[in-house]
Amino acid sequence: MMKKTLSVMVSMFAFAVLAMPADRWIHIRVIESGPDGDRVRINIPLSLAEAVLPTIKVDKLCEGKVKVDGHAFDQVDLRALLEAVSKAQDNQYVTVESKDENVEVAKAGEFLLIKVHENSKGAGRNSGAHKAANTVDVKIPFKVAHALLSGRDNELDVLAAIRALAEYPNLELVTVKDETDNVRIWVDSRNDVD
Amino acid sequence: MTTGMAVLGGALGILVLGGIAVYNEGAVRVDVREKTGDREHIHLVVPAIVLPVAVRLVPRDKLKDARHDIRPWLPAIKAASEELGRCPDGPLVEVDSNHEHVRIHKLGGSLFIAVDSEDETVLVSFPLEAAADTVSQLAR
Repeated sequence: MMKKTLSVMVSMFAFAVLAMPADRWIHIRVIESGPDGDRVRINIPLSLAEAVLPTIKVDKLCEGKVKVDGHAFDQVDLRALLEAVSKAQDNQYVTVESKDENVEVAKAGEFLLIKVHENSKGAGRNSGAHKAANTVDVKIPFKVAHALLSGRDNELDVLAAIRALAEYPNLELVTVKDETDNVRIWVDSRNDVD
Repeated sequence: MTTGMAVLGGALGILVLGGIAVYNEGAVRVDVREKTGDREHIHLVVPAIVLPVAVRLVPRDKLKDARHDIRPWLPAIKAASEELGRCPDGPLVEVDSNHEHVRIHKLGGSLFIAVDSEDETVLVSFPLEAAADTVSQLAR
């Protein structure tokens, strides 16, 4: 009797844990250091995006998929490229260095890393004044990238990407720093930023 | 005496049940305070349970455009209301600048929107469930 009760309780606990929604939040923070000093903080539950996206049918967004006709997709087989990189060893695969900016694309474990660094000299060249260097850091899990490209050739499956994103506990997705703006997009299990 | 008591009891029962229903559904609150000019203050509290009914009572032709505009977004509003209802309480959107502060946060089953600008302060809160019901009625 005791064993039966215990097994029922364990089953109920297991069911409760499995049924409990894993609260994952995507956070967007924009801090502008201009005269207005705008600060924007957005916290969206991934489950909300997952529930709402399939219901929206407007223009190029339909059932969580975005049509991207007439873009670089037409010339490059992104899926094949992604597949090849994800199976390759960790390495820096693309390095573009110019006077104005450096671009690096690398693979580190299960992540695709993209770094764009605008040189401060180049940034300040036009105005003559010294400006802070602009940097963009993007970190995308291959699983998410694969999910994003899992639709038709001219589609980005945003819904599938969000579902894939929900599997990662804490993830720094995008960081942009420039002269006036500081943008950060990340995923974690907290529903507030600070 | 007995009939009078029964009527009174019935009326009280309806009042209590009505009160419970109104309490459960919550209320839509709108509070606008002007900071300049006449410094008007508008404070409106409407039981949320009334809104879907009120929308039904408005002549159909008066809401024709609103119906047309909102229909494509109805599934999204419904899904968002339901999912937000399940989410833990907390801030959803915070925008701060030198001139304006905007807050949207979820507390309990309600959504609270606060805008504080140089000209006025606007506070709006509404139960998420009522929002979905009202929009559904609007789309019919």
